[in-house]
Amino acid sequence: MVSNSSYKRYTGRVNADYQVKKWFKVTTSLNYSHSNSQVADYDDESFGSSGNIFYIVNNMGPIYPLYVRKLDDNGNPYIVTENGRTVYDSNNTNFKRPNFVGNAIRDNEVDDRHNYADVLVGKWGAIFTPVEGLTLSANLGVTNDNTRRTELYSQFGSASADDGLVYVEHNRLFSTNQQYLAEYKTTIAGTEHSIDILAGYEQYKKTRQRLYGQNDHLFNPLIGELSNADGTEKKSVKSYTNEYMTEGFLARAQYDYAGKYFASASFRRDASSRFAKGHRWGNFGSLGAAWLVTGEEFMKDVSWVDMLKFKVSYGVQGNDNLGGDIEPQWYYPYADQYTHSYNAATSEYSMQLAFKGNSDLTWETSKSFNIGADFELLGGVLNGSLEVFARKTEDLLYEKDVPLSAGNPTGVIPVNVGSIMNKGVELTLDGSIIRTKDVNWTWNLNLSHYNNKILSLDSGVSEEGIKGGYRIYKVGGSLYDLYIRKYAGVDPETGQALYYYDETDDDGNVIATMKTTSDFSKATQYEDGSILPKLYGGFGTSISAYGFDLSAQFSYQLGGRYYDGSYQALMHTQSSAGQAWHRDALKAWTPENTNTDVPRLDGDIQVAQTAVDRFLISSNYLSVNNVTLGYTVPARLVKRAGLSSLRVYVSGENLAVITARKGVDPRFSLGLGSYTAGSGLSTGSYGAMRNITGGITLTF
Amino acid sequence: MKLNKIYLTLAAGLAFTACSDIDEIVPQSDRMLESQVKETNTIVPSRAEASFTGMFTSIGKPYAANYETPDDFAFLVMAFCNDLEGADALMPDSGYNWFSVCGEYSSRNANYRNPYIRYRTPYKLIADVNTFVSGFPEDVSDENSIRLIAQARALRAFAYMQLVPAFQFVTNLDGPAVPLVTPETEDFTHNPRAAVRDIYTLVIEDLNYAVEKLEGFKRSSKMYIDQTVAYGLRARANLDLGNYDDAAADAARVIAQYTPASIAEVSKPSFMSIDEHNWVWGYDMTAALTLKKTDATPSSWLRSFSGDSYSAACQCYVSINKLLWNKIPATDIRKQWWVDEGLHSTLIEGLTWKGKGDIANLTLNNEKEPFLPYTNVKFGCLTIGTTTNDEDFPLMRVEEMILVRAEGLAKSGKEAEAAQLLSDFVTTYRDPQYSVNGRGLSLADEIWFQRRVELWGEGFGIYDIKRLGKPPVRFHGTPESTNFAPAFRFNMAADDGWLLMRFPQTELDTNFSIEDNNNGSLPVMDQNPTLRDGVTD
Repeated sequence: MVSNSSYKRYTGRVNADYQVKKWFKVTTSLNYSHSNSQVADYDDESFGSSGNIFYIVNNMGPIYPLYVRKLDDNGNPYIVTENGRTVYDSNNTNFKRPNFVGNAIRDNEVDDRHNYADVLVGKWGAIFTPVEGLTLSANLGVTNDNTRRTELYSQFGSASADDGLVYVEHNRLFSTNQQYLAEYKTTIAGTEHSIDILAGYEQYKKTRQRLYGQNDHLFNPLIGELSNADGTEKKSVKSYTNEYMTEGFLARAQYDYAGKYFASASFRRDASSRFAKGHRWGNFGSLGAAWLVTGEEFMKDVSWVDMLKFKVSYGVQGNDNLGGDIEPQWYYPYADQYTHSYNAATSEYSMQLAFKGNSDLTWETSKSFNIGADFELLGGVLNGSLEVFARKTEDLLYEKDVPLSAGNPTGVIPVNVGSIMNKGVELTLDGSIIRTKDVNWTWNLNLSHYNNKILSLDSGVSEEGIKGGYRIYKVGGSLYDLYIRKYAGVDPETGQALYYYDETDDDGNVIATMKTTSDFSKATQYEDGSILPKLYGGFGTSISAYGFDLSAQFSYQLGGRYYDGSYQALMHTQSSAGQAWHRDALKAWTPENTNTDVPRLDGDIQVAQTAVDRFLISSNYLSVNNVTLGYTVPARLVKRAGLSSLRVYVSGENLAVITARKGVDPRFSLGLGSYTAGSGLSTGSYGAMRNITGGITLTF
Repeated sequence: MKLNKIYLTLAAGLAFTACSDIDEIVPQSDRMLESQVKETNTIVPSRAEASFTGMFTSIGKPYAANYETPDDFAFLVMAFCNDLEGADALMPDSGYNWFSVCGEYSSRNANYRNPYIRYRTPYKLIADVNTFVSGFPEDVSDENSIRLIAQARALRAFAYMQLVPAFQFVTNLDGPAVPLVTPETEDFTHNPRAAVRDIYTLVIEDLNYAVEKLEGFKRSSKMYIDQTVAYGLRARANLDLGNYDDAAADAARVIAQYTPASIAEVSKPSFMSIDEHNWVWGYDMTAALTLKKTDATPSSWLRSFSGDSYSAACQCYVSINKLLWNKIPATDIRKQWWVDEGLHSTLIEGLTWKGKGDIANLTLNNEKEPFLPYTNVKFGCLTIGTTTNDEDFPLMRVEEMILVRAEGLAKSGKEAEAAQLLSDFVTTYRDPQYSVNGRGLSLADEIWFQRRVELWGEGFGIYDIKRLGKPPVRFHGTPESTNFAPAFRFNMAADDGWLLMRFPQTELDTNFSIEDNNNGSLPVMDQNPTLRDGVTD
């Protein structure tokens, strides 16, 4: 538990439906929530910040003291205080910490961070049914999210030079979703033909507004508001508004015959404000069919099959999201964008191109083909579904690198490029083992497998593909393919780390492969396949007997790999003085210990933060997601107390995870990454929280 | 029924609001679309000048490359790295040293941020200049427009002169340098490395144009380029090309306009304001630019007096190599530009930081750690303990031009004139006891020594080494001979291919005509212990 962290929440909800006339109904639902939370200062995106308490706790050598201590008259140590404040060590004792200034634990104590959030979600609807089978509806959904954040950096902590600093931010998110639908359902008289036709218009609009400011020189060191900040030089207040909108027309038709044969078709045409006029609209739709085999006469006698249904569908979907919805450039990626500033000394404004847009940008489309079956067998002993899918995504929205010599301000332009294919299979099974009046025992299992293949890339990309520091995109490969330097173990003579390289002649032709060298700058980056797991899913069981119930749910992943950047940081070669070590560093080469795969600790800086396959490990895991034990008091007992049911329970969430190395948590990311990025749960954050809940459920 | 009416009204309201227009969505922020820029320029025509000013602002703009990291401040980072890759400026081997890639020379990694910033920055400016220049009709004739074009073209020359020497020895005129990009360039994906000679042809053309068209032009601030700056840039280009006569002549035009800083003026930490009279051209850093980006500034790294800095707070000060410092005579005021082994310097005597004296040894929690031996106090802060970090940065000083002229004269057979110029400058402005032959060096090496001392920290380190064909010599065979950290302690041969930068991966991946530099290998600790550079021997 991090001290000075807290969470308070209030919620309220009202639902009201009103049948005004037989043909007219109105619906209302309102949700309101308020939360007030206090959080520690950390950012799991950044790494290596000595202001991040999780990084400090994980990566600072444990030999350094947290507090400044002195000895009292009896020779017993005590923690020094000053004006009532605990004095933390920040290099003011003889324990000089070469790579850590300040003290993040102290800052967490003296700083203050608050988040206040008010969220109102409202939905209103009007439903007309003027004639039998016809429904006209209008729906309005509104979300209003107001968040205020205050951050106080204390003069007793990191903001000593500024005599305290305060940052206040207000975010207002307002979105509306409007929907106007006409639906007609009918069964043709005297037949078993059922038809359902729907048409409508939909519009979504989002406004994100932000007001933020900071100032320093706090008169009262404890008040984290701008009015308490008396500074004049670094005062800053800014605000902006960005909007996003989509709208579209939709139509759908569904048909079934006798509850056995089903067919459906849909079409929609959507526009997004992220694209330029003329490239804004896209057409999407779907077709589907299903057959309930057990509805047929010839299945009536097959008693072990309770339900069997085959289904097939094809659909085209659109995506307009590139780069998220926080940074301003991704609201208008189609347009060139400029930023500006002012020089008070010369009274001049200056302006620069900040983002190069692409007016041809348009929808990314995914075409999915699914085929599968649902089944229920043997009276509930085995139920499940099997689904095989192929999804081809075309015109991917992508930030394409352009030659840096072209002087593009971000080095990338947004484009629609390439195509990828995802193919996979999903199997879901459940069933009951024992089902009697008093005992019910069930199980469930699901398995998924998929692979990813790049079908085409930008025509400007060479056959060698797009290379990065640890991954490569090339036709025939996947989006998750490694391109990494390979570790060849330790030279038993010298203890130096060895790496593989391909020797080339003066013209760059490879003349020998997989040679070894201790010169890391010569190490070749090799293609090393996909890191994706072969199989993942979950399983669980639950049993209830005589009022007691017990359930457990697990998840797993098999056959993938994961880049453990945290381990790399903890296996430094003594080049990062003061940093913690993994215990594997004890296995390092020494003249006495030559048979090892951990190189000597010689301060070598060659590898530094570069990705090497030595730090890849299996991403297999098994996690205990939930275990719940409950007892339901017999109905006849609770009835006397005026209740209809009473259950007491205790439940544990995220109880354990078993992985190839302690501390690695492959649930957070696929694990394609390097020292600093993409390695999921990095040293800058904390592990998944374990939650134990106890409760009583009453129903009146 | 009352409720009924309310809901009917609501339904009508829903239908009404549906008629909003997706075409009218534009940002209301610090970002502007092209249409909004045009709109602004129509309403306030003077705003059109902002894109011209923007090119000059970009030279040292914090976070210019959008990395939002402390090593992201455009040309001023390039200058800083030039010194840290040289032999005379060093930082500790610490986790807070964001420039250890320069100290250890791993900046040749194609995937690292540091070389990426150093490659991208000049090309961004070149693109801005090309766009700006292309915006005028070919037969533009009004004086004001021509002067804007002349300044822009001089900036383009400046950008190429920063870029080319990083990728090729400028003395290798036929050697491949970097892609040549002009307003006519169309295919950036097949743009091979042009020869040094070809790029310098454009550089000289641009500077000739600037010199000619800026005749009589009075600039509003020293952040802009006037004819004198154009002469100074051309003097540098001529020195690069070995046109020593021309270099000396161009430098003379600058020397005639400016006076060097006096001994008294450099007897305190300075080189911080564009108003200093010895600055010919400077970067005007403003608090508006550094706000919330104070870490990405020279004040945060190079200067030792900021209350919001990596240098002071993390004891990551930039020091001089004692090999060079030991060669500075005690009578030279510049000996005091760095504290000695015992952290003493007359430059900081009597100065206070938050009211406290003995700045060298002062510790202020989170703000200031004690200086290290040989920490520089050459570069000051406008206020000691500042947290705004808006100190300006010199891009050209008259002192440099005196040394350029001296070198030009010395290498074009006018040694006596060169020695006199050098002697007059140093005796009057730095060391009254100075004697040109005092060290027994050749005149050329003596001028290089003066450049190393006078221009320390201003971005000339490794460029001079490569231009002069010298080896970077950081130590003399023993750990004690230097204050470079072990990881950065090595010497490199003058022709070591590792002195040339490598192209960033993105450029290699997208510009198919690039053939990368591939000679040399990462220096290892204590390599070439017997190499000497002729000056610090």
